[in-house]
Amino acid sequence: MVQSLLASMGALAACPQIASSHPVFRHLSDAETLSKADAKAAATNWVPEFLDSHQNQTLVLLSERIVPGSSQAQVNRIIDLLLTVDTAENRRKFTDSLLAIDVESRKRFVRVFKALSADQQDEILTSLAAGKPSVDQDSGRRSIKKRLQQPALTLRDHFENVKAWIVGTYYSSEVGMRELGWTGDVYFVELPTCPHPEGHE
Amino acid sequence: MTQKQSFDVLVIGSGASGGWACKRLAEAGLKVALLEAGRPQSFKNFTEHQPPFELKYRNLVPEVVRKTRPIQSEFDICTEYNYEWFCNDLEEPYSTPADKPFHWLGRLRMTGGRTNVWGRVSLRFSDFDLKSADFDGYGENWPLSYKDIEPYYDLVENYVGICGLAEGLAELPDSKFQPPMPLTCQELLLRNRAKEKLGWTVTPARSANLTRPLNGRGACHYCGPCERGCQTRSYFNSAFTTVADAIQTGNCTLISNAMVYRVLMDADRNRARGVLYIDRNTRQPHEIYARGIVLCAQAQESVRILLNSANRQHANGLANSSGVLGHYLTAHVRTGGGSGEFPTFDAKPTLGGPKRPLGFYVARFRNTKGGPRSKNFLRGYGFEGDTELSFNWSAPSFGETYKKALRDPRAQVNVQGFGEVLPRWDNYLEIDRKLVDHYGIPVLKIHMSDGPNEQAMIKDMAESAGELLQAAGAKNIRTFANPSAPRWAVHEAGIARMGNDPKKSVLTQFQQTHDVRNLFVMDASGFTSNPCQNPTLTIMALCVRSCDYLMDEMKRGNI
Repeated sequence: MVQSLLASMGALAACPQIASSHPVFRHLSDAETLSKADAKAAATNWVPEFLDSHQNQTLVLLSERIVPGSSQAQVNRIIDLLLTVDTAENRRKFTDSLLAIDVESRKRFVRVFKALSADQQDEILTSLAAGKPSVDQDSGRRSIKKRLQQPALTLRDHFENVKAWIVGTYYSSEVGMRELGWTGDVYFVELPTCPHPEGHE
Repeated sequence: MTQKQSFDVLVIGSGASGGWACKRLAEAGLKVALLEAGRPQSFKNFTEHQPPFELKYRNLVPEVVRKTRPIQSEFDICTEYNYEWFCNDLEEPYSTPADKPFHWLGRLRMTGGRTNVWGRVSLRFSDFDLKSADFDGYGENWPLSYKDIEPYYDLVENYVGICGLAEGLAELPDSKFQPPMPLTCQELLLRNRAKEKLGWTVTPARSANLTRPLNGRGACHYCGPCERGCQTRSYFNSAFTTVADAIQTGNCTLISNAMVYRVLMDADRNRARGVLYIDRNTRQPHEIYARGIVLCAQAQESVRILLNSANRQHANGLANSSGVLGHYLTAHVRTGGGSGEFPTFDAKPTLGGPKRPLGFYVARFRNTKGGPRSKNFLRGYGFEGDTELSFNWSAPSFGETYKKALRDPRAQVNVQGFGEVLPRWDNYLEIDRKLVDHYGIPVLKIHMSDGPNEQAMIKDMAESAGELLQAAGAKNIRTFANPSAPRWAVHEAGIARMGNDPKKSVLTQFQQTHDVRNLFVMDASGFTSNPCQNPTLTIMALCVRSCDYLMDEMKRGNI
C-alpha cells in the first residue's frame, strides 16, 4: 500500500508548501520503514502505533475533510507509521498541530474537533485556512536575524502542517496520481503546438 | 604489472571527446584502446520509463543517494534511478581549501561519461568568442578561428543530430539543424516581446535530441527524463553512438574499469609510451602501450593524470614546462535568473502526456559586438529557460474546494543564466600530497572562487531576467542572484590551455602538448577561454579536427 501511496511524491516537489523539506518526505528513508508501513497499513486489526486513539480519530476526520478520499486511501495509517520513525521534533510538531486544532475547537464550540458536526468542522478549518502564517509564504524569505529566531507558530501554520502531510500522502498514491492524469503511457508521437492561429504578439 | 598490450593510440575516457576520438581513429584503420574508468553501459540500465512506485524508495529518499554520493547528489540529475552511474564520492575524494568549497559534479563512471546525463544544449562558438581578447583586452585569444572549426561543427552535427531554429546571429552561429521542438504559447509571447522591446533573441533550445530519425536512431518520443537513458537512442550518448561505431570497426578495444594513474614516458626520446592504470575491480596496476596517447578523461581528470605523471624530466607535471598546467580553471556561473507567471492560454497541467526535453535559449545580449558594453563586467551570458505548467499545490482551503483549486493551472516561465567565467591564474588545481583515492591514486586539490567579474555578472543576470520577464508582461516576477561557481560548477575548462606560445600554454591548436609530441588532450582542458555557450559541441568538433591532425602526423612519421 505504501508503495502506491508514495508513487508520485516527486511530482509534489513543485509544491511550495509540500516541499521536499517537509517531514513527510523524510520518512521514506529506509526500506524497513516502507515494509513495515506496507504490512501494517494493510492489516485488518490495525491500531495506531504512534498516535493515540484520539489523535488517530481526529486525523481520520481531518484527512477526509481536507482531501476527500483519504479514508479510502488509508492516509491516516501511513502518516501514523511514518511518524513512528520521524524525529522527535517533527512528531511533536504534528501532535502539536492536532492539539492546536482541538484547542481552537474547544474555544469556539466547547468540544474537541472529532466531536463537532461536519459543518462545525468545516467552520474551524475555514477559519484556520484563512489565518496568517508566521512566514510570508509569498516571498519565502526572511532576514537572517529573523531566520535565527523561531517564530511562534500560528493556527494557519498548524493547519498547513497537517494539510501537507495529508496532501502529500494522498497524491502520492496511485489513485491520486491517476486523478491528476497519470496513465503510464511513455511513447508520444509529437509535442503539442500553439493552437492559437492569431499568435502571441 | 600483469598486462602488456600495444596499440596505435590509447584514448582515455569515453565521453563526448573520447567517443569521437576512438570513432575517428578506428574508422580510419588505427588500432585503438579505449580506457574507461567506469562500467560498460547497457540498455538494461535505462530507467526513463520506470514509474517511481517501481523504485525501492520511490526516488523520494535523498539519503539513499547521499550515503555514497554526497557531492554528486547535489546535481538534481543524480537520483535514485541512476546514482550508481556516478562516482562514489567517498572512494574518489578531492580536497579544497576550507574557504573555497567546490562541488565537482557530474563525475560519471559508465561508458559514455557525462553524455549519459548531460543537458544536451549544443551551441556553436563564434570568432567573437575565440578572439574575445581582441574585443575587450582580457586574457588570450584562441590559437584558431571559427573557419578552422566550422567544417568540423558541420561534420559532428550531421552525426549527432541537433534540433533548433536558424536565427542568423553573428555571436551564435546556426548549426545544421533538425527541426526545432515547439515553443509553448508563453514562450512564443516571450520570444516576440523580447525581440520587439529589447532586441533579444529567444529561440527553441538547440539540443542534441533527435526530432527526426538519424543513423538508425529514433526520433524523440517525449517521455521526459533523458538523464535516465533512452531506449530509442534519441538523445546523443556516446556509449551508443560514437563508441559503438568504433567498436563495430573491429579496431577499437574497450577496456572498462580502468582508472588511469599516469602517462608512462620513454625518457630518452621524450615520448609517451603508454599509461599505467588501476583496475577498479582488482585494484591491480596494468600497463598498456601505444604510439599516441589521447586524454579525454574530463578536464580535471586529464590534468590530474598529467600532474600525477611528474618525473625527473617533468618535475612539475607532464607537459608543464610553461607552468600553466592546472591554472585558469573556469566553469560557467549559473545562479542568476528569475521566474514570472504567465497566462495559461487554456493549457491544463497533467501528470501524463508528452514532455519536452528542453525549453528555450536566450542568446547572449550583453557586451555584444557593436552593442553597449557593461560597466560592471566583461563577457556575457545566455539564459536557458522553460515553461512550468503546474498544479496549484499551494492552493488555500480544503476539501473539494481544494481539489478543484489544485487543478487551477499555473504557468511560470523560468530563466537561468549560463555565464562566462574569466580565466584567472589563481583558480587552479594541484595534487594533494596527503590524500589518495580508493585506488591509491593521488587526488586533486581544487582552488576556485568567483571573482568580481563573476559576481557582477550574476547580479546582472537577475536584473536582466527581471527585465526580460517584465517586457513579456509576466506577473509576480522573482529574481535571484547567488554566489555560484564553487558550488554549482559545471562545464569546467581551460586548465591545459591551447596557445601558440609554449611558454604561456600547454597545448597547440591541435590539442597536442607542446612538450611531448605524441601526447594530446582533447577534452575541454584546452579551451583558452570558456565562452558562455555550452561547450560540448565545440569539444566534439575540436576533437575530430585534432584527430585528423594526429593521423596526418602519424602518416608523416612525426608520431
